[in-house]
Amino acid sequence: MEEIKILYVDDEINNLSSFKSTFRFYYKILLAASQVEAMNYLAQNSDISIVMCDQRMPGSSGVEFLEEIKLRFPRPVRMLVSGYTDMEALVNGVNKSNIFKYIKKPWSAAEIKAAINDGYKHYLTSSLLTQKNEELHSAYKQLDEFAYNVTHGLRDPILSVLSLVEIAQHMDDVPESVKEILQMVGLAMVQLDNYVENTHDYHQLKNDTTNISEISFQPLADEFAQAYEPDRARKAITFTCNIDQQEAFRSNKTLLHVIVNNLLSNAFKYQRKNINDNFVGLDITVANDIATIIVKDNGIGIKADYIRNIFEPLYRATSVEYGSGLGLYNLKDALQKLGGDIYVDSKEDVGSTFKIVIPNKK
Amino acid sequence: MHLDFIIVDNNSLNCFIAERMLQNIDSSIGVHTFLHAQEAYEYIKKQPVNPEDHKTVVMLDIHMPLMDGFAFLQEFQKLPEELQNSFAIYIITSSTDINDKIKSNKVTAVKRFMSKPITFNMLNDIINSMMVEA
Repeated sequence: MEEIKILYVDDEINNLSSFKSTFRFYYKILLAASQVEAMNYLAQNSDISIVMCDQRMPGSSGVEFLEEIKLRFPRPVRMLVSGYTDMEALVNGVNKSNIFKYIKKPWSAAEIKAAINDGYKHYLTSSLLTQKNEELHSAYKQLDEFAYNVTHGLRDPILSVLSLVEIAQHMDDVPESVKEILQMVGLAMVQLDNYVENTHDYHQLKNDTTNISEISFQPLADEFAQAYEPDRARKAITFTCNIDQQEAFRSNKTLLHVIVNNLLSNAFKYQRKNINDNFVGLDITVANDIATIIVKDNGIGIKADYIRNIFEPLYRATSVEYGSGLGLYNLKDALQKLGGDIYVDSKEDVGSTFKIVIPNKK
Repeated sequence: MHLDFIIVDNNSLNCFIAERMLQNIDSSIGVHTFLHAQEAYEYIKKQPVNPEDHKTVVMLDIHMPLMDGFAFLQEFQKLPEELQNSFAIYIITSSTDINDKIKSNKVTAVKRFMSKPITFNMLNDIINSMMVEA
């Protein structure tokens, strides 16, 4: 069996030496006569599995000390040893610093052995859990990188085929019948590409939903403004951005990104070519624990008959621009995870307004 | 305005495609292709400053082994300003990641972030916007 390493902290030298003499044959024992000394031991011995500390110590009490090491050295199991019966302080301490066992002085060897036995079992289980958690975390990270690389690796040749098909369409010595077949090859590639992108987004959406952080909408909006500046300039679009955030808001950044990006991407993409006052607006208001995001444009709009289908996967309400038919489907998926809702108001050849409401994740 | 092109893409198929399409559009356009960003950078570094009416378009892929598109941009920005001005960089990538887009557009030398596939429309777009600018 693996040797159990125990750190015993007590300012009374007699207690320390009697502890050591009783248990030296069973455990590996480190003795500290002060908190400073104990901290040094903890810093140098990451394999200490149990810390036992006397309650009555000069400086901070045993409870305070155990609470302090809980943060810096979370792995060892903590036990309090005390001859005093100040119940309130002890109960408080046990609750606050997650003390595994309270051992009453004077102790018997059997009592201590039983406590150490239990404590060590607990130590093994929880460190195994920590280790598994770390492994899982790194596996997730690797999977993320893998998904990113696979997506790129798959998409690049698919897109090359699309380009090659287009080249063939411009070659005079290719017969029409062959061009037709090639066009079908291209169509199949578009489907495959949709599938790859869908899988990637799906993976991303499934993966990173538990990560909740504070969201500042102004910098988020600035980032988007910067990302879409070239599209805005090229199509001579007026882009207005109004952010009104008076209170803190917590949510998942990745999902918010998917949502806002999908709406802006559509707004900038589906513009009318026959007008010259093209416009896209992004309004975000945060009040009463609700973020309201409105994206509006005076673009091509959506036919009334089509509106109810736009959140279906692979559904496309227009063939004007190239699209995957997955944007709004993924948006809705992301929105569901945040417990939000979406309202659409759109008229063909007038424009579209998408309104999103998302509750604060406290 | 005189235009020529540099294609930087680790996939030789993409280099072939861009070159072939450009020649189809205008056979007088000069095209240099590089499979490694480092080589493209070394080449650019040694170029004389173009006269006013001559620009070189750099079509730059992002995901490349060794020196990737972002590392290339970082090095490019260290070149003398007049030399930088001889080039117009277009990011041409299969990435649709918004973070890649944001990162690219932060670099002033980058004219636009465009998503593959490479099409005649895309190339005509680039050529036209270069002509308008001139």
